[in-house]
Amino acid sequence: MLGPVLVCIFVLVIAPLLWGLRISLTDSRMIGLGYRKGFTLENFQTILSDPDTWNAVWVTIVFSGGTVIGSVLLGIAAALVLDRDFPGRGIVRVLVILPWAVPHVVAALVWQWMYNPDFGILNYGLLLLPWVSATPKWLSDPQFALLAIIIVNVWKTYPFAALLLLAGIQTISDDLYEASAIDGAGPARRFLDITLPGLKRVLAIVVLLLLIWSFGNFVFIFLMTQGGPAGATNALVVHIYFETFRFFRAGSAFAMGALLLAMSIVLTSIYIIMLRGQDND
Amino acid sequence: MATARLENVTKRYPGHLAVDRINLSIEDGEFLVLVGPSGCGKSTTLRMIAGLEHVTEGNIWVGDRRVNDVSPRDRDVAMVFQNYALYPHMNVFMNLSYSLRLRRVPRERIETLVNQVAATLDLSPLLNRKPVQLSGGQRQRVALGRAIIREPKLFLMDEPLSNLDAKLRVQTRTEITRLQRRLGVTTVYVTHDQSEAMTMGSRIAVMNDGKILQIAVPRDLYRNPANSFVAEFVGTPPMNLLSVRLDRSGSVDRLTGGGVRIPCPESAVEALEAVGQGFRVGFRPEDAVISGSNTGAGFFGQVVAVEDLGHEALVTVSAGNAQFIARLPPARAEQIRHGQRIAFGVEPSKLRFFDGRKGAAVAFPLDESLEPVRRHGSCPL
Ligand SMILES: Nc1ncnc2c1ncn2[C@@H]1O[C@H](COP(=O)(O)OP(=O)(O)OP(=O)(O)O)[C@@H](O)[C@H]1O
Ligand SMILES: [Mg+2]
Repeated sequence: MLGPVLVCIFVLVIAPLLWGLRISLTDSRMIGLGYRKGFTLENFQTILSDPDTWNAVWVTIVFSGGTVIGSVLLGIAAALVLDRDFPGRGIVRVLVILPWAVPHVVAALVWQWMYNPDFGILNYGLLLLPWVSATPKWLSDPQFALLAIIIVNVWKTYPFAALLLLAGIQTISDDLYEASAIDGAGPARRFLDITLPGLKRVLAIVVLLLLIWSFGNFVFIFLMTQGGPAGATNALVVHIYFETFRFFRAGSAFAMGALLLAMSIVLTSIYIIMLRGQDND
Repeated sequence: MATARLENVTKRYPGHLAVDRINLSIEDGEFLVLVGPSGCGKSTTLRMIAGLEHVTEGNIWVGDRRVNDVSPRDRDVAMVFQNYALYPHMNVFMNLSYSLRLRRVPRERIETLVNQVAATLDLSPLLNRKPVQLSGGQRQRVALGRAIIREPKLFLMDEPLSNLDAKLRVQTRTEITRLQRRLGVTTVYVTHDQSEAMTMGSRIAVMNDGKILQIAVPRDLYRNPANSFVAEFVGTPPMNLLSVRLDRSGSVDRLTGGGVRIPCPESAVEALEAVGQGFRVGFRPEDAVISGSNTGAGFFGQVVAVEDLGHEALVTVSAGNAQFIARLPPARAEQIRHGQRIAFGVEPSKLRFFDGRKGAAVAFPLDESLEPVRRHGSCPL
């Protein structure tokens, strides 16, 4: 069994990666075609000195961090609500999970309409609040565009967090809550001392997966802002896409790909090492 | 340290009456055992005292305070759970000190108390271990320690020994009773094991079907069960019971039933006549008298089993349609053979009578016995 699996992994994962790395070391303009210099570090020199690259790195970090924080917080809240027994829980459960089932394109269109500064329901709602007098032009304002995209992404991914966390919450024995209640813990302490530690492992997996997914998330940005306005939402993946297919600079695009890969690996490793450390304490 | 009182306490789950108007008064410093078969409402009762379940009707008092609507954390009770419910991510020190830390007890005081409790329970070398790194017995002791460290008003335990192996269970029984006596904390202890109840309890409340059937000290519970359920539940083997009628046609009054005739004590006749026709007669296995010849105080039967347990022997005798068990010294049993026909009798003063329909004990004056039979603090059925 091991042999074929290793071959598959090599053909489908390792080989393309190596090939991509190879392209990043050429001055190729189309993917893998027509290069004059067969080996050069110029791509890396160019992208590392290009402020656009660093902007893209920053956008990627904010986008991923925002998504993870938003999804986890919303996910925990939703999981805590769904863990309760109340009339109509089945319907609420479906509503919570719904965003996950909505196709990305449909979600993007719906949110684009909701974000519309003049006719969108979001600004309409905001203006109903007594202390709000001016509303943002969500997707076309550099200050708000990234936040807007993060909100959409959180909306799309939090059901996943909620489901996993709910499953995690339900594995925690009622006895523990009862023991801590008798020991003198109120609801907040019970959450901090029983629920959170009990969710540690699930939370770790959720954070890791969300992080990796949002690092590579391309759809919402491409559909809603295409990296704009003024690069405000120009995450690395989007930047790479435009470099390759709009500006035909495959070499530097792949160099950025290598950078993204390196970031993912570093983050994941730090995270895994952190978890190991916690387990051994 | 405190008293506790349950007043007509009822717990009704949707479509199910788990606890039915029970009354219970727990004295300061006593070790009260709640015992009964599975599903009879013991845990529910204990959990209502702890505040983990709402009381449907009735009142619970801890000391002078009515605690029906007081949250568990404010009742000042401690509880040991059947599965211990140790906090899995905290080490033993943190588990023991959790309630103290929540109450913001100063650090040095916590250390002193933890070390004291750990020394009492032999946990000192384990303070840095997590619960998964402990054996069942060690976990059990941590659970005990977590409860005693707070010096609560009431100590509640729900089958704390049922996850231990037989030997450790017997050993821990004595440890718990000794600890309880030393600390003097009022304790309610739940078990379904009547021998655990008999060895540990200073008083025992027998429950069945959500009701308390009898509350008594172990000796009274054994000698004078308030009804036939208690008679059968307490003791291994249980009390021998036989449905009989009173037959006054002969020269001596007899109890007849199942093809067996037993002489009836004269003093009981009046009470039995008042009950009417249907009642049950019972006696403890050790009160049976077995002899080679018919002494007149009994009947003949056939031996169907002899079990020598070393410290005692159990002889099963079949007579008519009924079977009885007698407890004998092993030396006496050695002479008894399987299939042998023997005379089986009971000392009249050791006979007990129960109403055939309701099962309640029939009280009657004993002529010669030193212990008069009366109804002990039982609830109306
Ligand atoms: N949450 C609940 N909802 C409905 N019925 C319940 C609930 N909890 C307990 N019961 C019922 O109440 C009755 C008493 O339960 P309880 O747990 O007090 O029994 P117990 O005497 O502790 O039994 P055991 O020795 O098996 O632990 C049982 O018939 C049980 O099915
Ligand atoms: Mg129980």
